[in-house]
Amino acid sequence: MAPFFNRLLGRRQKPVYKPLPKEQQEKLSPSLGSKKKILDPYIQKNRDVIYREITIKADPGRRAAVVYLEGRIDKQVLYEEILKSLMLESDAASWQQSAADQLIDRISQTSLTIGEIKKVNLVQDMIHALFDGLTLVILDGMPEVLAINVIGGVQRTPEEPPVERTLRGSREGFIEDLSSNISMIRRRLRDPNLVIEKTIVGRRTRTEVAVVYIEDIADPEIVRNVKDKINQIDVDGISAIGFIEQFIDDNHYSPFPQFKSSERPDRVVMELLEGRVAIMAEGTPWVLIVPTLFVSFLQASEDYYDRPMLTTVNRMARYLAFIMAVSLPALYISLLSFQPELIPYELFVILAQARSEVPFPVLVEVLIQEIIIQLVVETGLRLPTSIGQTVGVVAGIVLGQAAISANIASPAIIMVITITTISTFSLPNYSMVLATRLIRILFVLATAIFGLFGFSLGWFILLTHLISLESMGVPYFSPFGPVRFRDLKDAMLKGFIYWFKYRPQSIPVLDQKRQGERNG
Amino acid sequence: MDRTRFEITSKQLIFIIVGAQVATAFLSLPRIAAAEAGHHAWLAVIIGAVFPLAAILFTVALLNRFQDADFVNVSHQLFGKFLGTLMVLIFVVYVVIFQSIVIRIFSEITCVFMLPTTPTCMVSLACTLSVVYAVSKGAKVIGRLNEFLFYILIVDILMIVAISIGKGSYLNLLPLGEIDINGLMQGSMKMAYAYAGSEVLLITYAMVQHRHEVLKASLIALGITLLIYLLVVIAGLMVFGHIGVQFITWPVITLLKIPYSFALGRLEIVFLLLWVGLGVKPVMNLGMTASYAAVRTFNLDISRFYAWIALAIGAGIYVLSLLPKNLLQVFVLADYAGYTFLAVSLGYPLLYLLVSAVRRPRSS
Repeated sequence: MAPFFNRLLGRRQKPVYKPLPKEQQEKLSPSLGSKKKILDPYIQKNRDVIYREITIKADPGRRAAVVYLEGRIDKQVLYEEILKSLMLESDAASWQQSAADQLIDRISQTSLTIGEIKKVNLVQDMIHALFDGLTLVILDGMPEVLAINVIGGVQRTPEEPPVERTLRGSREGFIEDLSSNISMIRRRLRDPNLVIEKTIVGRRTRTEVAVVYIEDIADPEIVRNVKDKINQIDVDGISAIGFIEQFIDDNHYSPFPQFKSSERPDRVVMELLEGRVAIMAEGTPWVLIVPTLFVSFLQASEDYYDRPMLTTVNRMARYLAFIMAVSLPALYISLLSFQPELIPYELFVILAQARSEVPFPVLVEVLIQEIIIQLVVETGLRLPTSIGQTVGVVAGIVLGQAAISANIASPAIIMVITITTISTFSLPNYSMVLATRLIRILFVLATAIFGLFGFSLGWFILLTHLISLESMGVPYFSPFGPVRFRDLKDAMLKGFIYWFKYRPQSIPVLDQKRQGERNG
Repeated sequence: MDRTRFEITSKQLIFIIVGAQVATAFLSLPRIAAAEAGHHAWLAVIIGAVFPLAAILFTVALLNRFQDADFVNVSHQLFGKFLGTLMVLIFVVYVVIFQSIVIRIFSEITCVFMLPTTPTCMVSLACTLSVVYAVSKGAKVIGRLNEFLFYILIVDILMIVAISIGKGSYLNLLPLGEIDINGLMQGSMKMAYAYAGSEVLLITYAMVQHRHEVLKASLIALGITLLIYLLVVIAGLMVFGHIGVQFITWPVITLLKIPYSFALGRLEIVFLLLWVGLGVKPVMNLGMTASYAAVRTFNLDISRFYAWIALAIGAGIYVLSLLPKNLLQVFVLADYAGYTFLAVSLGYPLLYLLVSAVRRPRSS
């Protein structure tokens, strides 16, 4: 309450924000001692910062040092390609031929057998390079420092994606290392027009974020929009791609996910080929795909590997699952409590008889079962897999049977809630699963007040909301609203692969054509 | 919200006009048409379309004369600041009054068929709030929503056609020759009211990206509405006959109550599930035009005030919808609203054309 009253009384506390010290924005001075002095506070506080002075064979009189973070580098490469090269193999003749101001370039050209080397001449850049994991080579008498990428350390090997599993697709999933993830995409997409732009997000975490797109397909306006939004993020740190998603989405107050994440490189490649932009972040095995349409959340990677007719049936089942996940309990309430004349008489009698012993109104019955099932699901997710499954089965069967025996719930409501829960989890995306949970409760409340009219009202508002959403400026509910007939063959249906001669109309692209006319 | 939220395509214009016209009125259309024109009710539907056709032609002819076809700017140019503002405000008030009747009829039908114990005012409130939510999203979203709802409407129409083929008889449309001209003319006049909503063009004209397509789009929209009305009236006549249909308040809903087949049961449930999407479209479309016109008239910042103005107009519609004491009074008011529709949709463009011919030469 205190912040509320403080605001009411105009006593707004200024947040404490520590700007970068002015001296860190200055240029480096040539002497090794002054550079060491800058690094000293970090070296003293952090045991993993290693500072080692070395003698260079080519120029023994010049003081030099190597600084790195223990655990962030590949030690073998450091010893072989930096220390050994400089201390034992550097060529004195080559060094002496160079002018003083070109010496630093000469060293990287002749004495270091490493691919990625950059020069740093600002205090701030030197400190950032060190904590980004680069190895610094500092030479006395030079106003620049070499920052060398020998990043290594322990990494997880690529495994089968745990969430987006397929039977016929690739078994490779993204890992936490950005470079490895980029290489997985490059390996599958050897197009020279594939662009990978990197930026840093997070003042303190300094997380490397890559924006990936195909230059001659992706709409430049969308690419610019994505980059602008990422560059505008001003936060101390991010630890997962979900942070970026929340910062850049168009509608913060919507329960619907507006960007899709994937842990499959093959899926990301297919999305890039449709003109979308991928956002990857260091430390996350998930890649964000923008713009995303509502229909994407009801599509699975497997859809593109199987025969179209079978996929169409699966997709229709998923759409039905979404409709049931959102509104089956609500429909049950409205038909049983408000419009029983709309269900066959025999069925109504059975339902009414089953409910005759239950002491609660239908709404309370539905809400009790909803809460129980949500708790079971949450418990199953948090516990280790084997225990979670056991708890889920036991809780589901025992609780359901016990509820019927105790006359707390009718068999019909157990069935309705079970079908709803199964429908919910048949959706391929977990963010969409969460969205349907919230909307379902709202539908239940609407129908408890207004019956079938509340149901209709709920769908009207939901449709309005879905149609009004945009993902990076692209209509989210396309190809249904606005209707794009050309894209309908890959929405609820899945057409034959040779039907997709053009890229989807819903996503603006530079190059529409996808296949030759002869296919099919 | 930026101005691009009020840019629509000519395709969306088609659905906005159809959406503004086809709503609760078509539920009672077979009764109203048959009461005057007998078994030639379908002919009255066709002749009735002449009035909205003229309204569309006059509106396009008027707004084509201006480089900036914004209705508010045109009003200011032709009538000056004060009178122009007054003309726009009269249009806004007309929309509020007319749509309050639509909301009331919609709520009455809802209460009769779905919620007999719920107060009408609660149903009206729920409808009005959902409409305000849709209106606050702008014309582009309204256009997309209308398009989506149009395809759902087709499902309803197909059900009606299926029932009329299965349960009706074409003999109820015969004989074709014996026409009561007087009754037919009166029926046509009544049918013209059912096309209320075409006046939406006065405001939406300036929102369309390719203006040369406006006339074509408007005529297509009128053609679609005419076809839907024809199918509904013919279905009503085929199933109930022109005498029987006059005793049913909302023949289209009664039609859907007929058990259709063993497998499908009563098709009414499908209709009721889609009910709100069908019934509130005119309020949504005209509410959007009224809100936009009001914001433009007072030269308000559209991103800040549009949603608030929409809420104010929604509040006005809701309050007025509560005033009629019963359904009979609502029907009497609906008749008056029909006259005002003709006055606005024909009178406005004619008056403006006349003044523009006198005051300024053609600019484009």
